[in-house]
Amino acid sequence: MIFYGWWNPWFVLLMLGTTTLDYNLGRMIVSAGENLKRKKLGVVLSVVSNLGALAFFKYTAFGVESAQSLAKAMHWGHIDVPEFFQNIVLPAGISFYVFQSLSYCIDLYRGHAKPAQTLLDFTCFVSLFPHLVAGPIVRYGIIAEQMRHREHSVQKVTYGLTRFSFGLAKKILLADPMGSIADSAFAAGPTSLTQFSAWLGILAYAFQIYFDFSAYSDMAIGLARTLGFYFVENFDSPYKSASITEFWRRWHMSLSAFLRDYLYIPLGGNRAGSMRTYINLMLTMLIGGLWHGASWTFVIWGGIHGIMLSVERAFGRRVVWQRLPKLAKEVPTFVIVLIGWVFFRAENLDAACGYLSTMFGHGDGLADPALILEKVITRDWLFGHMIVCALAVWLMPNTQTILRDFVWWKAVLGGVLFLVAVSMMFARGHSPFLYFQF
Amino acid sequence: MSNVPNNPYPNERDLTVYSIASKQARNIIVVFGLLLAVPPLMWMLSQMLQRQWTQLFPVKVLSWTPKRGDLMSHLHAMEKSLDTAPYAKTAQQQVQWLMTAFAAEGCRKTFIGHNGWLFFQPELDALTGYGPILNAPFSIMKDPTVAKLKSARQCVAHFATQLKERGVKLMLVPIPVKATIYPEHITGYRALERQSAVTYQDEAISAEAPVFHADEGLLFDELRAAGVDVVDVVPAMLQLKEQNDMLYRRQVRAKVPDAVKREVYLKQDTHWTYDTMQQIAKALADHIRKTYPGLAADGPRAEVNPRAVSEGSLGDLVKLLGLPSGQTLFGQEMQTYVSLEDSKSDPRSSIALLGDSFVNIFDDPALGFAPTGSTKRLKAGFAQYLSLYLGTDLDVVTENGGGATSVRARFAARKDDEVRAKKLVVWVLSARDLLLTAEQGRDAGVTWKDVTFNPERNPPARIEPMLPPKSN
Repeated sequence: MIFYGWWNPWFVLLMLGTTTLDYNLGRMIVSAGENLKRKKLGVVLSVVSNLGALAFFKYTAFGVESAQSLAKAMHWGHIDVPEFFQNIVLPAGISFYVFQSLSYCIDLYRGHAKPAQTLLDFTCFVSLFPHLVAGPIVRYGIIAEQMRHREHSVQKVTYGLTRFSFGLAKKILLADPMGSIADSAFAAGPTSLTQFSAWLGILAYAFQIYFDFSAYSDMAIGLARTLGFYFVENFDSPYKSASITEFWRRWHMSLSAFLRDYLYIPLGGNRAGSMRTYINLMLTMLIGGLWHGASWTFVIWGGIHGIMLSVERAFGRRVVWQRLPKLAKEVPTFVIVLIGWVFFRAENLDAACGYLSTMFGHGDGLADPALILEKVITRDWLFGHMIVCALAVWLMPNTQTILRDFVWWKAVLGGVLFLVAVSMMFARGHSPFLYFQF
Repeated sequence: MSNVPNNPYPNERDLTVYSIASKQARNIIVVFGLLLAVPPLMWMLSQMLQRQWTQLFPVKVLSWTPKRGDLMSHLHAMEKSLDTAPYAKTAQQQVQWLMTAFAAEGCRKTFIGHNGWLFFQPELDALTGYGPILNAPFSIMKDPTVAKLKSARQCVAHFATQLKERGVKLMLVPIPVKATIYPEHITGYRALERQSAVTYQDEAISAEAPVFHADEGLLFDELRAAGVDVVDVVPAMLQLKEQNDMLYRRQVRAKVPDAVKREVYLKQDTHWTYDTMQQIAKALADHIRKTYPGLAADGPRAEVNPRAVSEGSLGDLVKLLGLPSGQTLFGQEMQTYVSLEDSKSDPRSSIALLGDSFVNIFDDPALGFAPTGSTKRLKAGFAQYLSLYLGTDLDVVTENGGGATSVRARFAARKDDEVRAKKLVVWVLSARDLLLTAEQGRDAGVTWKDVTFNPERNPPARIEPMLPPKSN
């Protein structure tokens, strides 16, 4: 609570409110016994209240802006909305803890979890600080079990500290320098971005978001392990994927699993024919996109992935595709991921389209500052970091694989990385974790 | 519920193999703890030895009382103070030194170019960003406040309109960013070289073409259309650069020992050199004399008390790097300037000069080139030289880093009759402030705000009643 309230103490009340409500709805679901109607009412109330809170805080301004744009395009005049609705502040981590709270009621409804014994137990699950603001999205069933029975050992604490240090190093030494390239490229005026800079910028963003978010997950998993908890892994070398389907098995795995178990399968999954499967895939990815942020760019990002998942499902098992060497499948997959990242990173649709045009050689023409920008983002320090990132992404095992067989020298390496990262953090400062904004 | 499995999601389980001995693990935990605890403990110990009890971090944290304001702000301030603790500062300085020395890498504020040239990163952002005309894309989700930020062109045009209503003209002098004049020290090659039509002493010379933001010209045209006299000093600066280049080449050809190349900008500072400042002051004085007849004297003032001084400065860009105090990577840049001791600001002058650090350099000792420890004004800055060349005193309103809004606000806060007594406002500021997008500006500490002029007037001067002379 102190950790969460440090940013804005008022939002602790919101979190406590949704937590108390879900705890009581959980009791209602369990006490309903065989009364299916009452159980359904409990779960529906949980879905409505949680998604309602999320919609209010996350999507109101977006809804207002979209309605105003539509009214303007249709010549309906300007829609006046009180300024309050355009200035709603997004509470940190709401997207994550709302999902986790929601999953509790759904798991109880499905019989996948035992009810929390006290409100305190449930509050501990929701507010468990390592995963509170940016995941991994953990399910109540797993954590409840660990809350009751978990084994502490110095080995686990050492592993946790090492994993935390690896994460911190990934964030400060790899993600932040890449962020500096990506920020420069995306802040460039339309005539200041060469085709080369545009590709470099989006490549840097791909590295930044991976190292940033996987770093946070490493730190969360590490902190949890020092406390004796096991959290689900969130990343498994996603850029080594040979298809978008595989990408989603390796990227933000806790979200993928959540969307699969709580959205795709309830929609019918692949049980109702091909067409319905494609529709379900599209819906799941569109909603998943919108979950990331209240903007059409995120919807399009989800749409691109939804289309690709459907296409791969339709054609991916063709023999020709299967026989291609892995690298020949990895490269186009990565390029599609990069195109998706353009929408994910750009501030709005116009900016995303402009950026893509430049990437594919149809920019607005170049002015002299383009040479300066190119030089700034390709300077030795940043270019060197980019090469290190590329090696780490494609040639090295990921953090959990490196630490799976946990021996002493890996812990020492973690200590060294921690020292270097902290020193660098003092010298260069640091940018906030990207996923905090979601 | 009794048949609920302990783990209904079997893929979510710990696969780690812990092949580390308990003793080793324990030692590593202790070392890790020491790494975290020793620097702050040493810091606190040193404070205790110096009996700085009130400065101790726990004492400061616990010193909060409701009277001292918001608790969270207090805690956040305490948290930030850790970033400036001696151990953090030492780490920052040493790491920056290593990066600068071995990787030629600057910091968030300073970009290290070629041949020892340093550049202010926000200036590069201004040059390559969306600029002053296009609306930079922003996301209402990420930051709804961006939509409310004012742009430079709105504020400048509104300021000019308000001055015009009071019978005062506005002359805007944007000082180009360093990279406009010296792009080759960033790109590292003369790719931007174009044949220049400029000749000096009958010798055709070529130089790197300046690099402008694509919309800079459009902005200036728009402002001119709004009645602002925008003076472009880039041609004069380029000519100066070309002259300097050619003189240097001649010195080299003539094998002059210790040939020194003069520059338009300081290598390690965001500002212009003394020579450039003086030349631009002269060019502007000529422009004012020509465009606003009657405001300046017929010729420069005869300075009765000039004094030549040679002083050095590390430069603001080196200071922004935050290197250790004994660093030897960058030396002092020397400038020889002539102080104009008789020069003074006169609030009754019909010409007001608003400006930022470009006006203050060689005058404000905080900007360098002052004798060590001196707080006395150097009196060799732009205001003094413009005044000298105009032959009249100026009403000077300046603030380092406040060229965009602060100086306008201070001027506009004056009584209405004082403002109406002016004929011309000369506003000198970094072009960076005009070119940054509203969001970039906010991040770089340059915020444009509209200012409204003070409608109040001074009370009329009291006329003393005429008394008959006393008779003895």
